[in-house]
Amino acid sequence: MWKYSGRTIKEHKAWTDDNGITHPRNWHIWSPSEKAAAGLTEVTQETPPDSRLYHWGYEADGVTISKTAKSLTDVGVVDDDGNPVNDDDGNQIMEPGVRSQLKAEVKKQQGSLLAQTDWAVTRKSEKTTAIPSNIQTWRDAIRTKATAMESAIDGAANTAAVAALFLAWDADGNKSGILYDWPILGS
Amino acid sequence: MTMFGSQWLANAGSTYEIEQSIRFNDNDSAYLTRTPSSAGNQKTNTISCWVKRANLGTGESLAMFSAAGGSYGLTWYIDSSETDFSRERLSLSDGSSTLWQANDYRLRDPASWYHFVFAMDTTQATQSNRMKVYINGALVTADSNALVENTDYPFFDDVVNRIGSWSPSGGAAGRYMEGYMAEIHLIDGAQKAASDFGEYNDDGVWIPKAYSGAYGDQGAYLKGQDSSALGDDTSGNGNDFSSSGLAANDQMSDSPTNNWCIMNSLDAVGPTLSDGNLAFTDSNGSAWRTARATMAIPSTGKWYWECIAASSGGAGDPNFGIVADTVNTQVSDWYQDALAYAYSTRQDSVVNNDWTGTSRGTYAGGNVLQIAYDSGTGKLHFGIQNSWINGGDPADGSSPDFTTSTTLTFLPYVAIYNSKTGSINFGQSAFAYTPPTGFKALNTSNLDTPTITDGSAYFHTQLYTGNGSSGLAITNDANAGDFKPDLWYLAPRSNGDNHVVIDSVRGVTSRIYTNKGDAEDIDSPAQITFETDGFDLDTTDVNFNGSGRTYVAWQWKTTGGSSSTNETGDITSTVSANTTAGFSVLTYSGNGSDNQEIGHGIGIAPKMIITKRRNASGSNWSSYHDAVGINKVFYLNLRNAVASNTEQYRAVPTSSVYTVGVGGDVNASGGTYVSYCFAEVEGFSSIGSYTGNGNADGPFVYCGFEPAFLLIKSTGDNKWVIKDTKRSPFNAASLTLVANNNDAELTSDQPVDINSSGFKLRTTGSGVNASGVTYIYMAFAEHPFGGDGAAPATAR
Repeated sequence: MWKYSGRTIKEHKAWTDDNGITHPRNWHIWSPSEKAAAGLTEVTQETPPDSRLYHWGYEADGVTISKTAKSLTDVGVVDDDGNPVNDDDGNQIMEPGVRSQLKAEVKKQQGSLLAQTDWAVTRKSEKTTAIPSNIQTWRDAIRTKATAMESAIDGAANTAAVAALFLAWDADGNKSGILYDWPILGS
Repeated sequence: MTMFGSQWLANAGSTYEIEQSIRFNDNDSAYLTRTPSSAGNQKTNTISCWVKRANLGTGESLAMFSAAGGSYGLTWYIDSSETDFSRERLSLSDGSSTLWQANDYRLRDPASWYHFVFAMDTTQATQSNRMKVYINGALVTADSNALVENTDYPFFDDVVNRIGSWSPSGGAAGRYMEGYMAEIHLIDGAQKAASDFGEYNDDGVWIPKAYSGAYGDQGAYLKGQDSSALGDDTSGNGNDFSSSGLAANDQMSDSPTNNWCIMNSLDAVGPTLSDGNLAFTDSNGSAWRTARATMAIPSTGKWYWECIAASSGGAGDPNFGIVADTVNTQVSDWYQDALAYAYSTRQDSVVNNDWTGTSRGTYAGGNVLQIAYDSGTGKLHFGIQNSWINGGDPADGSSPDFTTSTTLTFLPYVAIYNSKTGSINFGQSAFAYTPPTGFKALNTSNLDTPTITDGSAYFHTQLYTGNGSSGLAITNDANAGDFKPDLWYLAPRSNGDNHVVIDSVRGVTSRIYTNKGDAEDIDSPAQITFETDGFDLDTTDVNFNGSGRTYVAWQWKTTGGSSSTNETGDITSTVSANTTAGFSVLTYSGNGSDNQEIGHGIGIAPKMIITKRRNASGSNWSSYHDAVGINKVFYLNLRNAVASNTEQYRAVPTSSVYTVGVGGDVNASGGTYVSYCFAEVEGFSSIGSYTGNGNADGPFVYCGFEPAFLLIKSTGDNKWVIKDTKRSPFNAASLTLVANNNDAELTSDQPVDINSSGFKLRTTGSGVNASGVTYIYMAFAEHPFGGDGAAPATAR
C-alpha cells in the first residue's frame, strides 16, 4: 500500500496532493523514483493475527498491529460500573471464551458433516435398509474425532497451545494439528 | 420521507433505462392477476420479463406466469424435498405433467437481474420451435418438450392469468414468487426473439432495449410505474392487472439498468430473508446468525443506508454494521472479529472485536438506525432517528464511531437470533432521512467507472475443436483483431494430455507444461502463432490439434508481443506487463544468491506469482500467493500442501519487485526462468482465500465482478481446480480441468456457482470445500459488477 502525507493512496484511483495537484488514476505506472518524488511511500501492512485467538487492530498508521489474546475461558459480562449483567433469569451473562467458541465450532461442523448422511439413518428407520458400512464407519469416526478435538481444546493450556491445534503443514508436507481435520468418507 | 436514488439513475451503460421494479414478497402472498374478457392467441404468444431473485431455498418458487386457474405455469421451482438443489428446473407445467422443461440451469444468483423470454408458437411443425426460452439472450436447451402442434394452451385464454403465483393443483393462488420483476411484456399473437427486448452492448453485457413491436389484443406492458396501480398496462391496450398482496412501497428503484444492493441469500449463515431480501429474522434460540450484502462498499466514496430493528435491548436483537470480505464467515461468532464493526440494538453500544462494545446512543424498537461510511477515510458513523450518536457529523468526518482500514473491502452485514426481526434499506425504497451531504446509496450507477469494463479485452477463454490438419486458425469470439495473446494456456478437454503454456516473452517456439516439471521443449518451427484475432495451429500434434478433440485456451494479453528490460531489482528481467489489467510475463537468469529482487513491471504489488525454471528437468512450478505468505511454497504441477520454505519467495512483493531466495526452482545460478505475476485490479481480478465448510451450501466468495475464470487450490494436499464460464455457461460449473495432471476434463466435479459478483461453492468435495480448510483462489472477470458507464452484469 502507498502512503502520502499519512493518507492511503489507492491504485487505479486519482488523488490530490497537498499542493492541490490531482494525479491521474494510473499513477501506479510511475517509476519508483517518480513515486518518491511525488512524496509517495510504499509500506507493507503487518499480517493480522488469528481473530479467533486475538483481539487486534491497526494502529493509527494503518500498518502496525496491536493485539491481545482473547480469554480462553468464559468471562462474566459486567456493566460500566463493574456490576454483573444478568439475563432474564437472573444469571450473569457469560461471554464465551476461545475454548467455548472452538468447541461450538466443532459441534457445528460435526452436525453439518453428519447431516450429509442422515438420509441413510432415515432410510434405515423407515425402510429398515441397513446403513452402508462405509457410512456407519465414517459417522463413528466423525464422532470420535469430534471428541478428540474437544479434548484437545480443553487440554490446551494457553493461546499458543490452542494455535498449534489448527491444521498446518511443514516444509516436508507433513501435517500437524487436529482442528478441523475430519475423516473422509470412504467408498 | 425522502426520495433518494433516482437522481443517480442516469447512465448505467445503456441508453435505455428501466426506472423501477415490482417487489413480490411471498410472505405477503403477492401477485398480479387479470382475466381477459375474451381469449387471445393461445397458440402463439411471448412473455418477456426481467427477474431478480431474492430468498433462495427449498420450497421457494420463481413463479413467473400462470393461467387456467393457476395450474398452468411457467416456473422455476425447487421442491421442498430437494435440499441439495440438485433438481432445480425451469418448466412449463399444466399442474399434473410437464409440457416443457430444462434441467441444467441453476438460476440462483440473487445479486443481479436475469432476463427471461418465453416464446410459444405451436403452429410450428418442428417441435423444438414450438417453445423457445431465452435466458440473458441465450437460447435454452430443453430436456423435454411435449407441446402439441396447433394446440391451444391456457396463456392468454379468458381465464385467470397470474404473475408471481402458480398453483399446481389449480384454484387459489399459491407458491408465490420472492423477488423483483421489471419490464414485463405480454405479447399476444407473435413468437418474439430475445433480441426484440434486449441486446449485447459493446462490453458484451446483455442489456434491455425498448420493445417496438405490437402487443396484440390481449397483450400488456407492465412496468410498475404507478405505485398505486402496479399492474397498470402501458401498452395502450388498457389490459390492467389487479394486484393482491402488493403495496405502494413494493415499487422499487432496483432495476436491470441500475442494480441495487440487497442482503445476499447466498451469503447468509442462518437468517431467513424476506421482502426482497430487505428483511430478516432467525429462529435460532442462542447463537447469532448472520447475512452479508450483495454489494461491497466501493474503495472510494461515501455511502449511506438505514436499518430498523423491531425491538431492542433483548437477546438476539440485531447488530447492523460492516465486515471485511476477508473475514471467515463460516465460523461461529465471526461478528466479533477485529474487522467487523456494528451497532448493537441489544446493548445500545458500538461493537468491534468483541460483543459487548462501548455504550453509545439509545435505540428503541422501530427507530431508524443510520449508517454512514466514508471509504476514503475509513470513518464509520452511526445515527439514530437523525442524530449521530457520537456527536459528530459524517459530512465533515467529525467524531466517527470507528475508523477502519482503508485498504480492505467491507460489506454491510446484519447479525440476529432468538426470533427477532429487522429490516434494511439501501435506498431502493424511500429513505426516512436525508443522507449526509456527499453520501450516496449502494447501487451500480453510483459506483465509479470500472478500470476495465470488458474483461475479455485482457483475459479471454476460447474453446475449439481440433481437425487434425496443420493450419487450423482459431479466431477468438471476442475482441478479434485487438487481442494478440501474450500468455497462452492450453488444456485438452476430451482427451487427457499435457497442459501447455506458451508466452510471447519466451517466444512461441517454447513450451512448458503445468502438469510436470520438465524443462521447456523447443519447437522448430513453431507449432503455434499468436495472431491479433486469436492463434493459428500449425501442427497435427494431438496435444494441440487432434481431429475431433476438444480444447480450451485461456489467454492473457499484456502488450500484444512487446517486452522490455527491467533493471529495477537485483536481477535484470525481460518484462511484458499490462499495468491496467495487473499482470506481467517476465524472464530472468538466476544468480544463486539469497534475497534477490526482480522487477515485475506491473506497478501494483502482485498477489500471485508462478515461476518455472526453463532449462532443467525436475523443476517444480514454484508458486506464491498473498494469502499463503512468504517463506512458504506450493507448486502448480503438484498437489502438495503449502509448506514452509525459506528458499523461494523471501519478502512481500512490492509495486516494483518480488524477492526470491536460493531455491533451484526460482534462482539457481545458471538457471533460466519465467514468472507469471498477477496483481488485483478492482472489478477485473480477485486473488484471495476462503475457508471451506464441508457443506453443499458452501461459502460465498465476493469478487466484485462476474468471474470468467477461476483457479482454486487447497492449502492442504489437493488438486489445482480450474473453472471457466465458457465451458460452463450456466451454473453449476461442474466441469473441472486440473492443472497438475494431464487427465481429460472431469465432467461432474467440484461444482461451483459462478455468479454476477463472485462464486459460491456447491459441493462437499475436498478439492474446493472441505470443512475448515483454507483455499486460495485467483479469478478474472467476464464483466465488472457494474458502475458508472458500465451496465450491471446479468445474473448467472
